[in-house]
Amino acid sequence: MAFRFPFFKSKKPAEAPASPPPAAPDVPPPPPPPAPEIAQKIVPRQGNLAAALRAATATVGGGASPAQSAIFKPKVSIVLKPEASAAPAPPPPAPVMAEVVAAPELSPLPDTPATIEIPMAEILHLLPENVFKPGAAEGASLPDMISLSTSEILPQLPKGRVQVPLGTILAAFPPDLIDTSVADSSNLKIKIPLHLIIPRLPESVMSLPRDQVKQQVDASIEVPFSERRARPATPPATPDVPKGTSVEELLAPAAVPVPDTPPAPPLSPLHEILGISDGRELRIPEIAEQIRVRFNLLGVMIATEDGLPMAGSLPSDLDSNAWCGLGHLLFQRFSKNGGATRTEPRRCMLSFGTFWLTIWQDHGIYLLFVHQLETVTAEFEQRGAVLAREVALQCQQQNKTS
Amino acid sequence: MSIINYANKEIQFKIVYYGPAVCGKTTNLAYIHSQVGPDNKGDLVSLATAADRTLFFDFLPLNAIAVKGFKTKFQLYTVPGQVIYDTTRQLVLRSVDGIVFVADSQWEKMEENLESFKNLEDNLGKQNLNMESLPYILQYNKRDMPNIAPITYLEYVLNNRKVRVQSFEAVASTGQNVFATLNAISRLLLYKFTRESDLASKRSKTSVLMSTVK
Repeated sequence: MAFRFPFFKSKKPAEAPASPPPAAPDVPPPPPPPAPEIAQKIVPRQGNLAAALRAATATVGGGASPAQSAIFKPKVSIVLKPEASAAPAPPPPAPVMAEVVAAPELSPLPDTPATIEIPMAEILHLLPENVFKPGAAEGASLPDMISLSTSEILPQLPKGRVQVPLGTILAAFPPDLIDTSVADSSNLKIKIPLHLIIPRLPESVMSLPRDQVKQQVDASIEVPFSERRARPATPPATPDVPKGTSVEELLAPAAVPVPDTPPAPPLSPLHEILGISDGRELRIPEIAEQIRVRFNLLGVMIATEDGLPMAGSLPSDLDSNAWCGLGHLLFQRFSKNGGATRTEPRRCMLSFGTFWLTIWQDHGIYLLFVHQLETVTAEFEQRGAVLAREVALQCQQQNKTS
Repeated sequence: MSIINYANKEIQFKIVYYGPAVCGKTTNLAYIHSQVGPDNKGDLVSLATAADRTLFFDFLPLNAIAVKGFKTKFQLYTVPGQVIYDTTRQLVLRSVDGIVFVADSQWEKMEENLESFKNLEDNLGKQNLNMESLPYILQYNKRDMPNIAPITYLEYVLNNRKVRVQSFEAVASTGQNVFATLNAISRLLLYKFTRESDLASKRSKTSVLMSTVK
């Protein structure tokens, strides 16, 4: 990437004399560096004894990880923030922003176990080497699992880390393995990896407050930005994350009753086919792009009755003007011939060797799909016809509006 | 505070992408830049170190829809995530209108996420701003990585407040939910603007009415 600074004079990139952004004229003095955390982090040491202990506990499994996903039941409600106004009429609702409150410390819930079991093998390498007596591990009976008290763990979860006193862990070992002079004098805490802890806790301990309110969003505000082209086809590792869906929507159960909320208007066939759930008005270019993504097409064009392209795109080696004109000419010819048989063709498929062209016609609007043969399925054919009708209606409607 | 130019009928919003180092803030902006049409965007200004980490900040101006007769412009910024660049972060946060907090979903980044979030609150506090009044969105990035924390935990540690803000699972490197996040924060800002504009209009009408009565 070529880095350009059109509005800043060239300056050496440095922290202290950094040029401020346009809206930041004053430079506050840099705060003193934060005090280093004392004896909180232990650098893992891979000594011989630790290695021997690891080998001795190598048969210990990682433990079953409970499913990570969870279902929240967010309380859907709106908080209105009163704002001072000279007008006699009550002001419209204010946008609700997040209020800062301390994350509540967790207290054990009824279904929370008193302890959780963690495989010793997973944390052995985190222990300092010198707490074990030299050579003591040979032939020693070592614990497979270590129990950690949830009352000690839960309050630390909001901090994004869990630390356990070294002594707590060493208590699980046979006393004759431990160098008590080191262990007793050590105030060290061992940072236990979260992936060993969180999956072993019930999800209820991480539930959000019931009185939490939802951030208010005005559905009437138009979506400001849209992508020019679809994302690369590489599927994400989490295929259940639909585009444009918030986490809250994903976690919310499907049938949560929403009191005092008017029922959403029924979705149009266009919205349903394209998988757009919010019912917003779709612009023609967006429709073309959504169709392309939805049906995994090489290209989509929407053209007028005269064969003029309205929206969409084709692969770069195809001339969109020419192809839209082709659709127009084809249907003109078909209609001319079909008139005698009182048939009005709606769809035309042509093979061009490496790809196929399917054109739908409805109400004088042409919908051109460039695709592979494998794309053609019963669903493709059925929905293509519906799409052509819906796109034509949208074009007429938006043409009237404009 | 959004900048309103009444002469040009233009309003500018400043959105800052905040988060720990290497969480994907710059990747978000780079993807947006690659997807917005040339007529609606300016240059992506980026200054990185030799190791490709953002040293100063990224800046991307975007034009968007018209609201109440005003052309809207969004200026997207990132901050350097590294702890030592706190002064820069404070500078970039000046006059911010909205925040996208980008969290790294990987287990080992949880503490850094929370430190960064705390740092955000602290830096806003230095400018007499707070997260009660500032629109913000959470983005849980890198959901394609193998060692990620579940959403329940991320929501618990980052969205555990009186108001539950919108949050998005994202893979910024492929663009997954990058625009959803951008649109969410933009719509919050536009809503705030339209609402305040309506209020101001009502106030002025009331003032005229009162003076007429007098």
